[in-house]
Amino acid sequence: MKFRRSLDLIIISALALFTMLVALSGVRSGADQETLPVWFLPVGIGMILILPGYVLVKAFLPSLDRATVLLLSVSLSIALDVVGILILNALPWGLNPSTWAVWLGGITLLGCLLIAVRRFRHPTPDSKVRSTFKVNWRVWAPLVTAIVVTIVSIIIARNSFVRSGTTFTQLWILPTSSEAPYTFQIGIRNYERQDKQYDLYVESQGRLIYSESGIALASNETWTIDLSLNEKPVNPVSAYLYLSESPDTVFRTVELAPVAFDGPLPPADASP
Amino acid sequence: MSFIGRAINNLITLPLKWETPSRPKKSPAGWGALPWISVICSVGILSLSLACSFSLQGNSGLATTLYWVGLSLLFVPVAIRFMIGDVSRQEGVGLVIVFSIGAFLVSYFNGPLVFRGFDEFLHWRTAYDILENQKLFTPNSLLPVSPRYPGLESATTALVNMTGLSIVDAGFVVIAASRLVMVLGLYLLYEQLTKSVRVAGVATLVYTGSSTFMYFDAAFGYETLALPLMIVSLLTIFRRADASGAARRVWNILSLLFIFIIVVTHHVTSYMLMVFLVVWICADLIVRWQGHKSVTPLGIAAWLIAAIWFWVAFAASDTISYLTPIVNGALNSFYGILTGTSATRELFQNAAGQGAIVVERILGITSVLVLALSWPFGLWYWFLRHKYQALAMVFALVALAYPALPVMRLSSGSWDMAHRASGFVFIAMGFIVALAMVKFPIPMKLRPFRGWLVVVGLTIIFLGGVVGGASPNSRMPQPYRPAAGQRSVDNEGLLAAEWARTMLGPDNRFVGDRTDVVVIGAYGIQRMITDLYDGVSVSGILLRYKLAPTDIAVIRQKHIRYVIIDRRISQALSTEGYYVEEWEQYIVSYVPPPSIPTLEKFDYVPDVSRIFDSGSIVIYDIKALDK
Repeated sequence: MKFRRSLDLIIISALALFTMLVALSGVRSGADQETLPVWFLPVGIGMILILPGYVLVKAFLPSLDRATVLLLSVSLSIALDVVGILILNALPWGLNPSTWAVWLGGITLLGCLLIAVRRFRHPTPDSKVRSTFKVNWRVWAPLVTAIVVTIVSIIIARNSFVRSGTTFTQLWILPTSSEAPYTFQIGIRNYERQDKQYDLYVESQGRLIYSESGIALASNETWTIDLSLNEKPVNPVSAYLYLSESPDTVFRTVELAPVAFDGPLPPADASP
Repeated sequence: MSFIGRAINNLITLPLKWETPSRPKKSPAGWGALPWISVICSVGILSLSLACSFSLQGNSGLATTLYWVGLSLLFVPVAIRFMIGDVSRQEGVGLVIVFSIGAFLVSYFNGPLVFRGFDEFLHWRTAYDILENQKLFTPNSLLPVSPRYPGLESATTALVNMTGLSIVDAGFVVIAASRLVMVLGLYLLYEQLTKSVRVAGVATLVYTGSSTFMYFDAAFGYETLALPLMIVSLLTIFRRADASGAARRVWNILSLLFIFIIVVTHHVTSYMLMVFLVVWICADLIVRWQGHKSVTPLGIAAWLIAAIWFWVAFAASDTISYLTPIVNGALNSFYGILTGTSATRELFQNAAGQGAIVVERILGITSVLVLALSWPFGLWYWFLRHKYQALAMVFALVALAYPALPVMRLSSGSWDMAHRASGFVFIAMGFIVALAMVKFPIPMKLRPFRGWLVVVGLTIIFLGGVVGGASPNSRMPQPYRPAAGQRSVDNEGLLAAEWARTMLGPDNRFVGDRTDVVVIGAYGIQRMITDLYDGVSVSGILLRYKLAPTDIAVIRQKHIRYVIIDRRISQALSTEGYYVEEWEQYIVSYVPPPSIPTLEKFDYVPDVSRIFDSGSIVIYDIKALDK
């Protein structure tokens, strides 16, 4: 019976420790992170949006009803996220998975400790311990049905977006930095949602300097080529893209002015 | 005199003669009809999902039908359950949770893979900057105050860090949590105040008639999180009055914590909370003066003032300069309406002349009528039965502001303020209207019809709120349309932004039209030149047929490197009334929409490179002009 009464604390502490372990193992950092296994998702969401608030509510307001506990668990967890970001921002380690895990895991473990101390000091009589989870199919069968229908609805909505949208092809020309002085890249990316064949013609000083017919690209495929000039052009370098199926109509055009070769790509400038 | 006094008193207390004393009866228990109502709501959700799917395919007739059917299936069963028969507290809580999930999904279906709302891009960029730089307060030229209020982004970036979700998916999880907190918080607040499951449920449903409820407060914006936290803070402040000893200290600490979090999350919400607390202090004084017990929130209000001062002084000093012109403009416009000097706005219609269908117009107007009709009876009942409760008096006083909202909607300058204020005023309106619908005594012979009439009224209020809160264009995802807000965000623009980020690198100085500014500025991680951040107007660069010396001066002054144009904006009038900046017609005299030669003028400017072409979208490198 004692074990059952502390089961929630054991599970929450284990989740907090596990989350801290995963984060501190250095698997992820920054905006472009490795994808974690799907099963970790509810654990992570719980650690951010439910558990820190839950343990503090249970520690300091043990006699609240379930609805208020739910409300305060979520809202207090969010509040702790905001407090956390302000504190972590002021610390030298910054805002990364490790610092978040230490902050939220630490609060959760602290809350568990407080609950354990309180339960040790004021043990609940066995008669007041709530009954275990009972499966009543008259309740759960419709609820499960509702959940399934909702999940199907979400899948339909997401798939509708995946299938929708305009189709197009990107063509670009950019100066590139290489050992040759007047080098530039031409790129084609196919977003037509079907295989396409393209013809490319590149002109400089009024003459054709490069052409390639039948460039076959599958959907979402990219093709690039780096070209060099012996001397700085006086007139723009122009690239014309045609769909192989309609060779008389220019499909896309890009152009590089001579001044573009004066320097490499500009440095990023974030200053106001 | 005494005769007149007695007559007035008799008139005021007239409804009480129809009031029957409530007999104590056994409270119902269990889940009641919740499981089956969940199934009906899920069918409503399925209908909404299919509506979005058909809408994307351009089948707007079927989509519109499914949309309204879906919303009705989501709302009506919950309303019926609260009004017809006895509802247990457990079932009531379950009903509002089910409804909050449905309400979240209505906005989620509008764009489940990518944020499309204008404000959402701005906050996405702030979240990205926090993740990328691992610190707060990186400048954001799209919305300079956004990094100064990082509450929403805190939970979002924490989720991204801990789970590896994308910003969009993490944002949706936070929005879902906020929806739950908002709806459940409202229910518990009303329940605490009225001690009635039915009144609490109905009041919560009345709140959903706020025009911001369904879409604006479900978008990835700071109010989406701040408003639910404000509701929770009202609950904690209220509950501390009932508590004593250690529990009271805990409720106090919770109140102070939530208030600080609101201040850090959203400026306007913290000011609106200030209004509520000031009214609460006044109400408390009145209640005490009448000899009743009350706990003043004076200390809490002082803490809120200190927190606002601290945050504005040390972290968000540009808040005042950001908000002042917006508030001034709205108030001047409202004053103009009252004095007849301001031009009125065409209701249910956008700048391009597209309007809601007749049924929706009727629904919108009827919902205002239902609210306006219930409003005095709710206030009347509050006066009869709740006038000695401070928080009830706060709600009554705040609800007095309601009649101003429909009036403010008549002016183009103040309608947005009315729209945004409704999210706050409806906290009070929920309570007042629920009193009218559930509690106001009526003659015995009318009582059998009351439940069903209230269900009809609630449904009209809810659907009217949806009509007033989002134009037909923005309720469901639709095929691309140029210059039409979020309908203009398509994958060609999004993938051009991705190209700019990967091929040009971040934070290059760009200018573009209204849609491109947010798409390239957010998802493309570019440094957009905006009037808000840079204090210059870029309309001339895009909309003038030939660049003027003033345009060249702006390019040089701000070292603009790239121009992005979308040729499709030449095909349609803007639904917003402008293409680049609201005041563009004062800078460039042209007949909208802008012509193709105007947009493609850079093709003929010497030394300008046309570096990217995806058919509709072209990017020019104008480095040569910055000499």
